[in-house]
This record gives sequence, C-alpha cells and structure tokens, in this order.
Amino acid sequence: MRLVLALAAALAGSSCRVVAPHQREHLAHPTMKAEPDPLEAKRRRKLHTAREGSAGGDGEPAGGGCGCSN
Amino acid sequence: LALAASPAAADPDGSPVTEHQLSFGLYDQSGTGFQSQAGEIGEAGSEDAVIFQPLVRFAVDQSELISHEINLGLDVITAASPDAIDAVSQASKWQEALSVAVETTFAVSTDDQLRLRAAVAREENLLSTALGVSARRELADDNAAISVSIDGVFDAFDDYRRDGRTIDERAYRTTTAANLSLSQVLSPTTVAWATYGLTVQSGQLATPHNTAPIDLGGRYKERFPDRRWRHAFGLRIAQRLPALRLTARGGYRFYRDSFDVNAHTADVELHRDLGDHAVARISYRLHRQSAASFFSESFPRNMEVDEPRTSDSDLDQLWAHEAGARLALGLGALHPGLSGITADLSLFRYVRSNGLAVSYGAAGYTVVFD
Repeated sequence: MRLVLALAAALAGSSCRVVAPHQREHLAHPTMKAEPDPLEAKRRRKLHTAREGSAGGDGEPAGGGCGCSN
Repeated sequence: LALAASPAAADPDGSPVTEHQLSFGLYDQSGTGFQSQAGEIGEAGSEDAVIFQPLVRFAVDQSELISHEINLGLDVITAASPDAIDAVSQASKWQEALSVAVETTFAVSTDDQLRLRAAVAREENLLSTALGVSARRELADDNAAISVSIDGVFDAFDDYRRDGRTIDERAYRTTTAANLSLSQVLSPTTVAWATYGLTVQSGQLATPHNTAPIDLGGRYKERFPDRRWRHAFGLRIAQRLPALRLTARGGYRFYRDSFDVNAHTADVELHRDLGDHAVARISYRLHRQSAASFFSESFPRNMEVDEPRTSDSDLDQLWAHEAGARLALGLGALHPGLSGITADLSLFRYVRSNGLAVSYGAAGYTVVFD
C-alpha cells in the first residue's frame, strides 16, 4: 500500500512538466489512449466483474446493474 | 443492430455520427461452483455456459459543444446458473439481457467538460437503471487532467423461496459510486493514469437464485450482509517506443471491501504496428483475491437465519490468469474506398484456480468519419 501511495504522490508531483503540442505526435497514437478500444474494455470489464467479486477502480461503479451479486 | 451500424448505411456527409463500432463476442465457459445445484450432492455443480454478446457503440456530435456516446449491448446466456432454485422464472437457466447507455458530454470551456450518463439494463428477473455525472478539467496545457464522477445504480429484481417460487415482493439493491481519476503526460512518449473508486452497496446483495450446501445434505439460500463498502485504487502507464513501433502498457489495481475480500490485479499489453495499417497486440492479466469472510463450501445445519453465507465461487480465494491476442487491420490498405474502417479480431483464454475456464473471442469493426 505504501508503494501505491508513493507512486501516486510521484505522479501528482510531476504535473508541472509540460510537453508542448508539437511534441505529442507519439502520444496521439491510438494505443496511447486511456481505453484504446472502448467496446473491448466494456466486454472485458463485464467478464471480470461477473467472475471475480472485486470490481472497481476503473472509473465505473463496482457492482450493480446485473443479476449477479458481484 | 448490424443493419443500423453497417458502413453502407452511414452517411459521412450529412450524419452527425463521427464514429461507430460493432463487435460480436462469443464465450464458452466450463467449470464448477458450490453455489450451483447442477451436480452430485456434496460436490460442486456445473457452471458451464455459452454466451453470445453483440455490442454496438455510436459517437455523435450534436454541436461543437455537445457530443453523445450511445452503447447498446445484448447478452444471450445459456445456463447462467444451472438447476438453481428459480424453477418458475428460468432466469438462471436461459438469460437474455439488453442494456442501453447514453453519455452526453458538454464542453463547458476549453479546459472543462461536464458529462451526464444514463443507462438501463433489462434481464428476465431484473431491471436496472443508472444515472451519473462527471466533471473533467484539463491542466498544465493539457498535460494533465483530473476528473471526478458520481454514479448511482438502482436494481429491482425477483427473489425466490427455496421451493423455487417467486416471492411476491421485489428485492432491491442500490449502488452508489464516487470515482477520482488523474491523467498525466510524463514525457513525449509516456502517459500515466491513476484512479480511486469508492462504492457503497445497500439492500439485497446476494444473488437471489444462488444456494449454499448444508453439511450432510440440503441447501440454504445464499445470504449477504445488507451493506458493502468497496475501495479500489488503480495505476496505469503507457509507453510508446517509436523506434520499435511498439506501445507497452501496464497496470496495477488494489481492491479491498467490507466482506474482507482483498485483491491485487496486474496486467501488461504489447501493441506492435505491422506496417501502416495493422496493429497486433498480446496481453496478460493476473488476478489474486482472498475469499469473503462468510464463504464456505458447506455450512452447519444449525445456522441462524440471518447469518451471512455464500458458496459462490466468485467470492472464493482464487488466482485468475488471462492471456489474449488481438489483430486490428485498417481496410484502407485493401481498397481506398474502405478508408476509415478498421476490422478487428481478438481471442482470449481466462482460467481461474478454483475450477473455471472461459475461452472467448470477438470480431468486429470500427468506422471513423472525418
């Protein structure tokens, strides 16, 4: 848990670094998006949620919306 | 759905649709779990199932300031929980589930977005509605972003007696979730995301058609505590390696809840450009979770009626491995008239240490209009 918090603090502390728009060519590659394929992300999230009782942490509600108890 | 989303039906000149995506998924699941009655007394029952799942997504620009994303999903599930107690409804044996979700984004300023979400899901024995709102702000010349969201989900579903009859009163469950997300550009080739989610669930949280074996024979209905607090923290990083035409992505998630389930999940993906029109990907995901405090494969005969109990294999201690591969091909490579259309095919194998395995695949396409 300490490692997780340290990494989060390092991430937040690096926000002063600025990459100019003309330097963002590689960041624009489709594989650099938060979710490169939204439908596949939805499909895999549902598979994991329905088979593991420990969903969440991905910007979505952890549970609810289905007939299962997960 | 296929007709509505077919490339030929789209009109790139007059349509506000900027992107649409169609994908067909097929799952073949085999395994056993003690919550299932489809087996010998004292042994885990079958969880075998076949699931067909088409999904459609549309992105629509209403104006320069307002855009929408519409998701439609259909699940056709055979034997969702074979021989469970709902002898009347058949909800656990053959299930068709339809979901519709609409997300509207308002560009409040050049740096701020407000997003509203609404969703409805319908299964034979369940009606679920969800509403949510999120706000996003770009920071540091678009090098970072912070977003917060609040979502509420209300589920109403049939409950069952042990003889399989439907209880007259519907059962209810509410889910309220708050999420905080941060994204940060770390270099011209690196971006990272961090998320924290808090979810509180109240009401009947147990699956209504699940049962738990009793020592020396017989079964109880599954029973959960009436409230569940869930915390999840995730980190993700993507690194582009231009010289290798490769993107490496990795993530880690920590989860903890008031049922004493603790989980760690790690995943890695490698995306490799194949020429100018194709991308191949391989992925691996590892998940480890502890069992819920009230999980057991069998319970004593003299339990209190209200005492929590479950034999659901999803809440058991387990390891899960998932490996996958995907190929996306820009069809513009085949014919200039197909420019903007990408076809994709993916295959996965998911294996759990407590006796469950799923092979699944999906095929579909994405159309992006200029």
